[in-house]
Amino acid sequence: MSLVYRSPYDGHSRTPLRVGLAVIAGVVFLDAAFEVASMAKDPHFAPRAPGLLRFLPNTPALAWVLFGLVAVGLIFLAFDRFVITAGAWAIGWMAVLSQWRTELFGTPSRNCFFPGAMLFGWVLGLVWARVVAGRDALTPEGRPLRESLAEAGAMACIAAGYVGSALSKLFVSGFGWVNPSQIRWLVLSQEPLASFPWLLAYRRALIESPDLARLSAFATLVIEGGSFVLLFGARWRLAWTAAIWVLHLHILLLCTMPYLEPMSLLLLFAVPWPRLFRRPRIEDPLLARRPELGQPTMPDVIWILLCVMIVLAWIAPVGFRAG
Amino acid sequence: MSSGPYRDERRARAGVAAWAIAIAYLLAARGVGNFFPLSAFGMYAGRSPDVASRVLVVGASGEAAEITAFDGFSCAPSWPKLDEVRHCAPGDQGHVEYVPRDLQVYLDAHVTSDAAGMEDAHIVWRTWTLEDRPGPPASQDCELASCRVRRRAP
Repeated sequence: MSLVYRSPYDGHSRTPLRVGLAVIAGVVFLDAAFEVASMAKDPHFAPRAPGLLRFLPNTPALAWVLFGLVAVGLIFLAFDRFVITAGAWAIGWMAVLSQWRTELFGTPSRNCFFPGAMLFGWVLGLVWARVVAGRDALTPEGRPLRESLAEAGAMACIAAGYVGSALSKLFVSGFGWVNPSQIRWLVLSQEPLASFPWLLAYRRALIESPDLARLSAFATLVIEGGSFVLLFGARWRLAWTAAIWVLHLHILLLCTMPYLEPMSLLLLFAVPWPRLFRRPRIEDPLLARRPELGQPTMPDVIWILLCVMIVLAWIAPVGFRAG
Repeated sequence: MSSGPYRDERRARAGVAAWAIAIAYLLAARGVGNFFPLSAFGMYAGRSPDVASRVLVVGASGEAAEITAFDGFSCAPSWPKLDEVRHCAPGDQGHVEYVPRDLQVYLDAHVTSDAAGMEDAHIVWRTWTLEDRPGPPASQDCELASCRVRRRAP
């Protein structure tokens, strides 16, 4: 298996990816801020086990302040200014807003985690470029190199998210997750009725057929677990994006659970938009001047950084572990 | 335009970055569970129960509808508690925790004393028993409140 990462944006500007990621993340967190501000003044959502809220006032205005801080980081990122700092800044304030929402709602919003994970991967890719190419990576000349690594990092994190979802099911329930009740339970406990006759017929078809329900559970595991092929190449990525879209449309129709964030992000990253819109090709002057930057090696600093992140994630007394 | 070998080299470096970051994210997320931006995306990973439960409104004709299909409720008790289902068999099993809570928010916002255009209905806790056989699953209703409700204008 080749580790080569092919992208529809190779040889083209990745500005649409950078701006698109910032805009989608901004819209998602605007919605999150609205949700948190609404929940903060609603007694139905009193936090049961406050963590962050021991230090923060549970007032709606603070949600908008946090969103403002997130937006500043995303705007700098979109305009390609101080990108590593701006990305890290945005992620930090997003984490505060996300944690606050978790304490109010009771569970984390995974809708927020998809753009968050891709933004995290984008920043890790930028850090990788900075480590490899030094200050040259952050110059206009270094943009093609740093954004090729940023794109790879972003796609890596969303692929890992889907694979992680399949692994979570297998770790908790084993292959027993593929059973006749799993999907039927989800539909009945979420949205057993529907306003449109065709939608009601669709839901009933699954509720009344254990075999169809079993097949749906199996397909869910295959599509999520197979999402590492998002990293194989442009055609694989496009094909698997289509499969993930089918999965999310299925979830949306059956349970009214919209996951528009990963759907739009995958559409942005996987479809060969530069070719469809006949965008001009660009040079990579930094790689032409310093061909050694193309060596497919992993710098020691990155090894250490990723290992520290993993160790901290396992030992830190934070995180929501329930389903 | 970048020459071929340079492009291939950059793709190889991006490939190493992609796989290393993916594996690191996966391992870190398994450790922390969910802490932004790391997530194991473990929602609904547990094996489902063999019963499913949901709050619904059942009209005089016996037809079930969503609470959100109505915009006025006048009930006994006046402020029904949708999570108080201890008197129902098999208790509160088989529901998604936030669903009754979200419905409670909606219901509480639409309790009214204006009886115009209202019809009789019951708010029920419906429980389906899931068996490995084709056909509609067996269900039973447990009454949570007896109400007069006003259907929302289409």
